[in-house]
Amino acid sequence: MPERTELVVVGAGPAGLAAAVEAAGLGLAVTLVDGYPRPGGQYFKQTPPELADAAGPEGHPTALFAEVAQADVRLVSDTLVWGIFPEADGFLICLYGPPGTPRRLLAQTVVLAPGAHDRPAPFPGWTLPGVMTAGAALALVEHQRVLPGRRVLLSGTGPLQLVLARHLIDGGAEVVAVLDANPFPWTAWQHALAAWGQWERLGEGWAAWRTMRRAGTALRWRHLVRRAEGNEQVERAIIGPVQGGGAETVAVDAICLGHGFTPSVQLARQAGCQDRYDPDQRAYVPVRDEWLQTTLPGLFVAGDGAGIGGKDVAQWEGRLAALGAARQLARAVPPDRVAAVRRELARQRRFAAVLTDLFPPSAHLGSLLTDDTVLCRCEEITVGEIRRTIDDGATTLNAVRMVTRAGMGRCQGRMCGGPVAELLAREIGQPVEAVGQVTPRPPVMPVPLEGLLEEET
Amino acid sequence: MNLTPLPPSPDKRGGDLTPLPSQGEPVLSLSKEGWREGGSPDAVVIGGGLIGSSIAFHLAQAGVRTLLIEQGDLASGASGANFGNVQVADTEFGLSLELTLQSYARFASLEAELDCALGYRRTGSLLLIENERQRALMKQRAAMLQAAGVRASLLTGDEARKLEPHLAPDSLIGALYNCDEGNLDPFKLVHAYARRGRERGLEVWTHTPVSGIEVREGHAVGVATPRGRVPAAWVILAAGAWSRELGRTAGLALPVQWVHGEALITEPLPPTARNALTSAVFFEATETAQEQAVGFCLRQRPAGNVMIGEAARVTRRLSRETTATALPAIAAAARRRLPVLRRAAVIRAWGIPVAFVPDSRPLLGAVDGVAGLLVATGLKSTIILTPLVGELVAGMVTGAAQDPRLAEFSPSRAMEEEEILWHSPSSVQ
Amino acid sequence: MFSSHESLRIPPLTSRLPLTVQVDGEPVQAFAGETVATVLLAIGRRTFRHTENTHAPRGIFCGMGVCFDCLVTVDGLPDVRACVTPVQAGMVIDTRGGSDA
Repeated sequence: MPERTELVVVGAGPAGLAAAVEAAGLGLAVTLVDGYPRPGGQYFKQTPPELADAAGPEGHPTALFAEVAQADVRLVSDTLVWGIFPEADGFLICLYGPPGTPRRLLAQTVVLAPGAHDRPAPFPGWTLPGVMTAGAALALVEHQRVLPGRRVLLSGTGPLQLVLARHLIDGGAEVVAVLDANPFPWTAWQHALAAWGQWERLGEGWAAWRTMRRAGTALRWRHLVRRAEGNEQVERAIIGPVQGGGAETVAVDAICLGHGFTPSVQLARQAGCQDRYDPDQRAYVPVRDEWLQTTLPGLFVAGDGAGIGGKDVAQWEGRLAALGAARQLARAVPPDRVAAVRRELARQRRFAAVLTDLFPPSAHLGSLLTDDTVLCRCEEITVGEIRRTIDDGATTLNAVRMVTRAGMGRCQGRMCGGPVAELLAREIGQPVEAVGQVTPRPPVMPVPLEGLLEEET
Repeated sequence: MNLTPLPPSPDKRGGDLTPLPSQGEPVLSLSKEGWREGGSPDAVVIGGGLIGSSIAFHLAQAGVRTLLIEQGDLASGASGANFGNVQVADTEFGLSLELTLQSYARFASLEAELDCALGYRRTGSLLLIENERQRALMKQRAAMLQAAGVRASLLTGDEARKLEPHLAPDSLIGALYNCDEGNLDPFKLVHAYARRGRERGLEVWTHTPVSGIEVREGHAVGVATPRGRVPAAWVILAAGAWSRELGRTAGLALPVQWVHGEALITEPLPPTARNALTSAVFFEATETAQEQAVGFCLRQRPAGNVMIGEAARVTRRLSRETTATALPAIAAAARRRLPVLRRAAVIRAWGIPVAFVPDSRPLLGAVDGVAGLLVATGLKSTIILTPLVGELVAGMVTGAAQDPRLAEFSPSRAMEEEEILWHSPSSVQ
Repeated sequence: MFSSHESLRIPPLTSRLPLTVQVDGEPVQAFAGETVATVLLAIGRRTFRHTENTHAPRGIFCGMGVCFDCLVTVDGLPDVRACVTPVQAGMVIDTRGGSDA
């Protein structure tokens, strides 16, 4: 029989940590399951203690670690939740972790806080070693204290690129250029100036700007990387303006792609939650009510996994979801606490909206794709193969996937699902939401065969 | 396009093929080009799986104006959820075996015939024997297959392990081996039929669930869809597990039942199993009419991924769910038989209803009382019969001479439906 | 020992705890707390594997364990994600597609 518990929180980033702390404070029996060895997720990623002395200039200290440590929260680390199955008396949570980790939990309520991953932005050569996401590069520099390369090109949109550039320069790399596919956001800056409280947030961006000025790094608006070339690894980047000609070649040994983030919705979808396409996010997000409850009563989603809002929105969403779970469990939920959390969440969402306005995800970069560009990195399916399927009459993502096997590899379509859907939609002249999604299947991440068993043997 | 006129159908009283008068709903006009101009199809095939697409292709090839209608994407039901096995050894005997061998003979040239890569390879198959009762059944089966000219042989456990060294010694005492069995990519087969059919005038509608088969005065006269009513002289029902409900709309009680099969797939692995592996427990279960059993079948794709199924159960629900109980059951069965798989990463699982017929024979042909309606579903080994059944059913429409023995597959034959027998695994392979 | 790319590590290194792992049969110095990906990058190794179908080179991409590109063989276990796997003293890392599965 699986262990029973009142609340399982999945993911120990800002949303999950806050949800666990809030729920424990209300007296709920809480189990917090996280896929990494140390809690924190991506926003509060902790540098391994052995490397902490050498840690980068800014860690991400958060009071939540201390609060979780003091609260009555059972933390299950380094453990994957590979499936959630609604049952009559709760949700069966299937886990796989180190020896001694329970394989099943039966939770009356669940808060999913799965976070997000870098939005994949395919272009010719993007599979070459040395081409990586901005998130990967930032984690390497900040928490592993190693440079992704010596001559690094950054291409994408938004403020994270500036932060990454600063860390790279401080760490001793040469940042060849920072390319931003968007025009300089003059109009949005005016909105930002009008928004109270934005100065602190923009501070890091200004600091980055100063570092880049000192290092002589060019920031080029409306530019992007068009192609990466190299034999066994990236050696050259062909860069140019988003529209028009004038391409030039630069020697690099790393390219970092920062095109924002996309919510990790796989677990919610696998469990059976309804979702909807959010054009602002360019992603599907779970449908939620005012308590952040999904269409499955008792199952909540908080934080970036329900739409990118940043770490502060995530924390307050986590707290609201915890209150919602307590309410679902018929616990007394202090109305003034609910009101306070809602107020703060509304404030944080306003800030997040301004930031989204400042740094919108760039329009799709479909014009860069050539027939030999690999879209599905796992199964090595090219744009040309997908176009042939479309010529044969495929009108849905599932049809393309079944014929080409794009999205059927180890990453379960996390990397290619969005780009393939956008390519298909473009080719058949339909909106992205018209081509559907792939059917969510457990395990949501690869699990060793014997890890599926109910007991360790 | 040069159209061959339809020969008069013997089933059609009066042979009246004119479209239905409108009943308030618009009668759909298929008005694009070729036969579609202002006209309606002669034949509507319901179900874009293996059987439906083969029938549609063969009809188009014979010059019949055909519309293939599929509720989802092509091959999105059991046809796309199977292992791609082209299998002989688990057939029913008698006419089924004869047809199976006839159809099998066509696979060697199928890729050339369709001018499409289907990934067809002959790899061999092993039916794994785990107890004496299974051995007796497989011995019988081997003898009957050999008598029909199939190169099947009964192996000892050691001989089987020589072919498949990763099989655990205590997991089998023997195997029924057929070196001629093979496999292909079922998606590619369905899409090849659709593509080549289109070149011959076939129209394909996907994401169009048929809501009903229309019958007037004992004739099938068309189908109702969200895109409108489609009048047609012939309606061919090839919708697998979904055929039962669709048959009901034509007033038929088709004895189609289904099991919910589940399977999983690993990441690409080094060579692990050359043959398709299937547990002989399925045959034992047929004999004992067991309702619940965890069978086992496994095949390695050319890319290295290993597919493993199935925990199947008879159900009344039509669902694509994967369950928290089936996945560990499949994992346990696989680990016991091939311990080398214990740490292999599982990357995906799926579930699908798979049609079967309680007396283990397909429903194939005309039904009593509804002229112009043909049924083709409930085949045991669907893939191997796909080329032949497509041609047979197309022949029923064009009036080709039929083997009178096919009457034993009549969808209207008497059957005790309550007798739910355990199904063969073959339908999900 | 590889040493030419030591400087990809961001100093200071003085307080780090050195340990030795094997990469493709050669002893390599690593530091406690590093991931397999970090150790490979630090010795100038960008290519962690070649793909099954086209033998294309691949390395670290997402850096957070979701893309499954950075797979290597660790202590005989194939398809281990280098970006989320901490090194241990004596660990045997193989980027040549070797596996015992």
